[in-house]
Formats: sequence, structure tokens, C-alpha cells
Amino acid sequence: MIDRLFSSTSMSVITNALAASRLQAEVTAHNLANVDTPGFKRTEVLFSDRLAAALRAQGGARDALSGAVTDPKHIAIGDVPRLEDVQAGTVVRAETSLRPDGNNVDLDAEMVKLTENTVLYQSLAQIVRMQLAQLRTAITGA
Amino acid sequence: MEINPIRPADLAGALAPSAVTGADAAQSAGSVSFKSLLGDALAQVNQLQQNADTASVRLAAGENVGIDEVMLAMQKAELALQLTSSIRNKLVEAYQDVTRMQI
Amino acid sequence: MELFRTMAISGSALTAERLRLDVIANNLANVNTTRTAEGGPYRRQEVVFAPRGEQVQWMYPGIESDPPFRGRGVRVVGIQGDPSAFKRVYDPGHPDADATGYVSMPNVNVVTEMVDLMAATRAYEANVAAIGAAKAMATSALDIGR
Repeated sequence: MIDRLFSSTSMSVITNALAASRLQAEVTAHNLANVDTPGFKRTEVLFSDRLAAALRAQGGARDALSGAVTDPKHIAIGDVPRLEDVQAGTVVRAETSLRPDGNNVDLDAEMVKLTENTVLYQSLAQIVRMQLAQLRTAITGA
Repeated sequence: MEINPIRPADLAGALAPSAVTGADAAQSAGSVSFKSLLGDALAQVNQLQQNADTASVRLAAGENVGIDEVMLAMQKAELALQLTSSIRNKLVEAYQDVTRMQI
Repeated sequence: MELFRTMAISGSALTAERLRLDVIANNLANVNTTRTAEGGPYRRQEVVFAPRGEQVQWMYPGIESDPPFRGRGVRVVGIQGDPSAFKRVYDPGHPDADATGYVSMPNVNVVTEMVDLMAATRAYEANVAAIGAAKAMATSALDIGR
């Protein structure tokens, strides 16, 4: 009963999104710290794209065929990842180069990401707070 | 898009008077006893409180835990406790109503 | 706290860029120094930056990895002399002129140093902004518990 209280898809997704946003802050800080390091390649965080893909897949998955699996841990072809299972990941973008020394950190792009991510984190925190307030109202009837 | 909103109706099910009929030792098929309902709830509340404690201690120790994680863990523990407390109060109230009935 | 670690990453950049500024300032101060303790004109110095923290991902560019992220900012691995040649200026009256009347001047180019100065300042300010952002995030996370 208590576990059902907090297991809504949206609360789980928002929690994962908060973690992804924290990761983004760290990655952006690292990229900015190395804006003048020769040969440095920037890192990117993958989350919102993964979530968007999962949303799209869910939209189209209703009549999709599903593959067979030989191990319970495998994800069958045609199976759609649950929204709450989408996690953040990172990838190093080594294929581009901005300066002769190989460094590909675009300072302005990273600054934009910094601002966007901060606002995103604040919004997610606000959303979580409101979700908790909803629960509190339901529980205390006040 | 399959996002389930948080439904207060889910909570109402636990607090409804129908829970009273699953009293004490009686384990009729398909219904859940008070004892197990409250027992499970308390165990989960305990777990949530432990999670909150662990998270705060890790924060104090300078470990790598996010503030939002700690805040969320503490809020969840508090809400779970409030819910369990509300349920307990309703049960006691219902019991008192039953004992007060004139036969 | 995780955001402290994020701030430490930005902090490492502040330290590194500050050191770089010091080196640039020293280059500019010595643009006309023809006589150093080791003999000869002043040789331009430059800082060498390297990323700090594990760079496992360096080995697998393009491959998506799961957390934890191991980048820890930047560090200065050394300050080295610029090996480019000294400037030869014809000035027979100079106390350090050689037999042919040429003076070896430091290989410091003021314009280059100013450009580096601006880059270092810009990087410094960007990292200060990153610390501010981390602080704003921590503050709003605290409100979850309000």
C-alpha cells in the first residue's frame, strides 16, 4: 500500500529526470573546465532524447509484434521500455573538432546548456514538490 | 501516452469502511486482515524512514548523494507515516463505532 | 553532496585559469628582459592543461556509458618554456648586443599574450557562472523539503 503511494509513473520519471539534470550539471562543469585543454573532447548527457524515444515507441506499440526471449533479463524485439526505466547516460563526442588543437568545446553552447539545465532542474524540483503536496492533501484531507 | 496520474482514489480504497470487515483473525478468501494491512504498511514506513536516515547521513558525510534525493526520501517517509497514522485512526474510530452500537 | 563535487570541478578550472593568468602576466612583464639569471633573454612560458579524473570514456568515444561520470575538471600538469626562437633586433648600442650589433629579445608577442589573456578571463568567468548555477540548483532542491 505504501509502495503504491509513490510508484506513479510520473513521479518515477521526474525522479530520474532530476538525477539526469544533476549529471548534466556535472558534465557541463567538466566541459567548461576543459575549454582550454588541448585535444579535449566534450561529453554529452543522454536522457531527454531517450525519454522522447520511449514516449514515441509507446505511442506506436499498441499493435506491434513482440519477439521471443530465452532469458528473463532480455528485452524482446518489439518490447517498449517503460518510461520509468529510462535512465541517463553519457557519451564522448570525439568526431568533431573546433580548434587546431582538437578541442571541441563550444563555450557559448555550454553556457546555454548551463542556463537551460538550471531552469529545468528548478522546474522539476517544483513539480516534485507539487506532487508531494497533492499526496499530502489526499492523505490528510486538508 | 501511458502516464498514470497519482490517484487519491487509490488511498481511499485503503481507508474505506470495507476494510473493517476483514477483522483480526478472520482471513476470508479475497479480503485482507487488518493485521497484515497495518503490518505491511508499518514495515514499509520503517523502510522509508531508514532510507531517509541513510540518505541524510550520507549527505552529512560528504558522500555523493543529491540534495533532491535526500529531500524526497524524507518527504516520502513523512507522508507514509502520516498515511499509516490516518489509517490507524480511522480503524480505531470504526472499532469504537461498532462497540457503541446498541443491540 | 553531489553538487559540491560539481562545484569542485568548476573550482579546479578557476585555479588553473588563474595560474594561466599569472603566467601571462609574467610574460608581459618580461617582454623586454634581455638578461636573466640563467643568462640570455627571457623565454616565454606557457601552461599545459590536462583533464583531471578518470577518462575511461576517452578510449570509447561515441559509445554510450552509464553513470558514474568520472570527469573531475582540469589541472595544470606543467609550465614549460616556449621553444620558439628569440627575436633578433638590431641595436648596437644595447648593453646586451652581441658582436654583430644584434640583441636577442624575448620570444614574447604582446598581441598573442593579450589574446590568451582574454581567453583565460572568459574561461574563468564561465566557470564562475557554473558554480552559481550549481548553487541555484542546490537552493531549489532544498525547497523540496519545505
